[in-house]
Amino acid sequence: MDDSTTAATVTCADTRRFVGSFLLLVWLPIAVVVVLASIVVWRMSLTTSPAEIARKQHGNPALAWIGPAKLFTSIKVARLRLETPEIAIIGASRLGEFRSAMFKPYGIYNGSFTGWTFSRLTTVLDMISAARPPKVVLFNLDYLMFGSDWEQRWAANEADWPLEYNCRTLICARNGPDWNWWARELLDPGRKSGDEFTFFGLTASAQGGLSILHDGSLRYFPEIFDYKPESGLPDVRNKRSVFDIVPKATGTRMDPGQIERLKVFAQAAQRRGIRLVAVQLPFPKAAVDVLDRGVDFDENGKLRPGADMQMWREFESAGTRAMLNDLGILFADLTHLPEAANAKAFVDPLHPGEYLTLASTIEMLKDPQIRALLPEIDLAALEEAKRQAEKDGNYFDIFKDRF
Amino acid sequence: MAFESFSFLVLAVAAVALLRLCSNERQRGIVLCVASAIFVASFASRPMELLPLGVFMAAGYGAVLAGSRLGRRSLVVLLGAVIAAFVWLKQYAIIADLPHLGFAYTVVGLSYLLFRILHLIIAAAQGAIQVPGVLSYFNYALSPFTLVAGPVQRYQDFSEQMARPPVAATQEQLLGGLGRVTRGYFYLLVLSEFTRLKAGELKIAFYTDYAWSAWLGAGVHLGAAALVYFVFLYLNFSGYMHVMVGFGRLAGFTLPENFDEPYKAANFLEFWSRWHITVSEWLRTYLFNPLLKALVARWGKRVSSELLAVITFFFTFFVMGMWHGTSIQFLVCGLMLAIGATVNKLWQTEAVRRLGRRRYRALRAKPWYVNWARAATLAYMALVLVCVWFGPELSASGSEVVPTPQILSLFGLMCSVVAFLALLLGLWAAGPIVQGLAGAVSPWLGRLSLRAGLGAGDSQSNAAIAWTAAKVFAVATLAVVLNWSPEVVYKGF
Repeated sequence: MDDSTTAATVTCADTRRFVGSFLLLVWLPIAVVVVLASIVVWRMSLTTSPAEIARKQHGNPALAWIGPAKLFTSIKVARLRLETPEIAIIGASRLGEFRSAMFKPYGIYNGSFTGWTFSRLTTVLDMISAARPPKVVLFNLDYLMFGSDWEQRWAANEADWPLEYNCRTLICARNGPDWNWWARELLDPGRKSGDEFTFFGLTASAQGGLSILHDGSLRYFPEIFDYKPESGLPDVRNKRSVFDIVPKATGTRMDPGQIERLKVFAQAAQRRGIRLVAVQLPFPKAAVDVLDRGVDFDENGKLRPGADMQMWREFESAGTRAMLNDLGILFADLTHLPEAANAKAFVDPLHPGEYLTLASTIEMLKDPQIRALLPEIDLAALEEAKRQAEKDGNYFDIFKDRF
Repeated sequence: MAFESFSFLVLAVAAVALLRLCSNERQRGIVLCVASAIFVASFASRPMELLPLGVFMAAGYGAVLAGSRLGRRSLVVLLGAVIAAFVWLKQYAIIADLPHLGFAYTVVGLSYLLFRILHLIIAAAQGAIQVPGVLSYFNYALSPFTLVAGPVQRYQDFSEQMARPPVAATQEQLLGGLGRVTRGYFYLLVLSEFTRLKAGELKIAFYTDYAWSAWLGAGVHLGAAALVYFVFLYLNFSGYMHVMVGFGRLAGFTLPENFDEPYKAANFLEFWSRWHITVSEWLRTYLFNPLLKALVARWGKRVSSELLAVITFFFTFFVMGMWHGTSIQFLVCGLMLAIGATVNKLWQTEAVRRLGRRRYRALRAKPWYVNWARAATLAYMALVLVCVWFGPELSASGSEVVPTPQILSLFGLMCSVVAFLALLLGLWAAGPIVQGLAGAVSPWLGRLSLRAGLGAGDSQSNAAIAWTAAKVFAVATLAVVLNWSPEVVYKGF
């Protein structure tokens, strides 16, 4: 054997050892972490699939699922597929307080938290109408959605709210660190008892107690019920000024790209024989006043002249109404509801509570076209429930465990 | 495939292992080519999205071939055409009504690709390199180790390393490379994301405080946000570089470094020789030097060389700012960089004129002067970077957009002045404290390293291997537990 052969042999052996050590040093520690993480995930019942959670909640109205909000989307889509309701609500969290009791005797499931962009709504519509399409789909149509960066901004956000999940999605889900959550779940996972519901899934420490009820509506954390605004109307849930509560969109006009995406969504519904009902739920009255007036007005009396407000005026115009009508969309604009003057009725400036959503439902049903779609709803009973809630000062827990 | 994703880790580890097993240049070229193709393709959801990048690459290769045969004027036109194609593909917002292709396409790494292609065209035209083969060109331009955010390696170095015969891989290389990779991921997954979140909070605090009645508080918040964002950018970008240099070393390549402790820079111009070094060097070689030479040749007899140098600095730094992004914000960024470089150069020139070289050198050696100059440099750079991050922000709950204040106003300028002064004073005061702490901690860290088996000459010990495995384990655990989703910021530049 000559010297060069020996040298080559040594080099090959060294290389093999190098590659072997390299792979071992990288993958062994990572494998240990993955195994440990898998045990934690299993112990926390996170390996339960959305379909299984949907089946459990379908069979037991007293069960409320509680856990990371970013899993809401997949659980609600699974439930919508399972229920195939006559009325499906899809869209953003703003719709979260629509209760099935408000739509009796129709079968309804509240799939708020399933989509923020028109593109995602179209996808969700596809997914939930494969077996039996709903007759009516109610979705939120806020003027904000026509901002020029809405699609881009929320598409990035939607990536964190998977339509379906598995272990990999869970590991990749973007939740901030919450040591309390990890520790409590490891020590005491699973069921928690509430006043009216049995919570399952993760504990309240995960996401401040936000949970999904049997009808898909959201139950906010208990602290919200006791909240007392400190200084009148502008202070809607810790926002310091009117400036902070005005919902702002980007751009000067309704973005043509967004209008096109809405058209695609409307066409998808039409193809399936689904009737679309769009709602713009209330914003705090003080904020809507700013949008309507479109004048300078900030926390010190002046708000920058509003490009946003031009878009607002365009959205509120007769032209937009006509366009929506042409697309076959029934539109209920509830932003001028008198009840929105009560700051206590909001969870925060963008999220009306159950009372305000009830008031919105009643107002929406006064529209003859929408009423014709849903003639069997007992409007008088809803108005009575609203009166009782006003009398009790009950803004967030009107229908309790009635589905 | 995001660079910071698990998929990239799998690709990089596989590429490193295969590259190490290759016995000649051709095999290595093929492995690198496949890895590059997988990496680039992962950025597109359909093949059409890769078409413009592919056409740009092909046109770039054509330009390299043509450039080696063209005269000086034609070469300038050719370079102009490549730059124009780049501006068009990047859709520079400051140029109104640029025609658009009408479909979404990927531009990942395009800014760096431009520098590599221009380098190849000029170097081939000057005869400094031979026109590369197609495979070499592809690998040099799109290597996964350098595509996303550099470094901008010289082709000579790249081809020399590719052609180098395989050498026995040592455990020191293994542990050194893995050490860089884990350090990089720690910076990127933990430290940079933490500072990014903090910077976001401070940014919202600034936006919320933005009112005439609170200008002092708003200015301080702006300064704090600017500084934390600056730290974030350093950790983020240097973390990326550690990972890339580490993987490069594991694969048997030596990638150029992009950072050299930039926080130690004693002035603005020195800062740029320590920050994003490869881009600074590229601009010096292909913009600053030729431009200065041309200006001296044209105006040298009538205008002082110092003034011509100042003009060249201004233009070079303006281009550097503009290269980073396509919006009006980067125009402002370029102007601020240019002003910073100009003021620095004028100060140096004037100081030498008034004090003389010897006294100026003595002044620059004084600790108090160094401390002030460093604080001013870092404070100014932090404010320059405000251009990069200033814009709408989602609230902490993610449910609404926090409005962007009008910073281009008198009040905005007042805030900026307050922010600069706050940063200047803060950094000036912190400088000696940090230096003192570093002096005290360094020996202790050295002893700890030695004890852990990381000292020189002890790298083959079992302790060093265990220490490296523990670091990989710790970073992987933190990545899973924290579950943050950082992003390489320079990818967008």
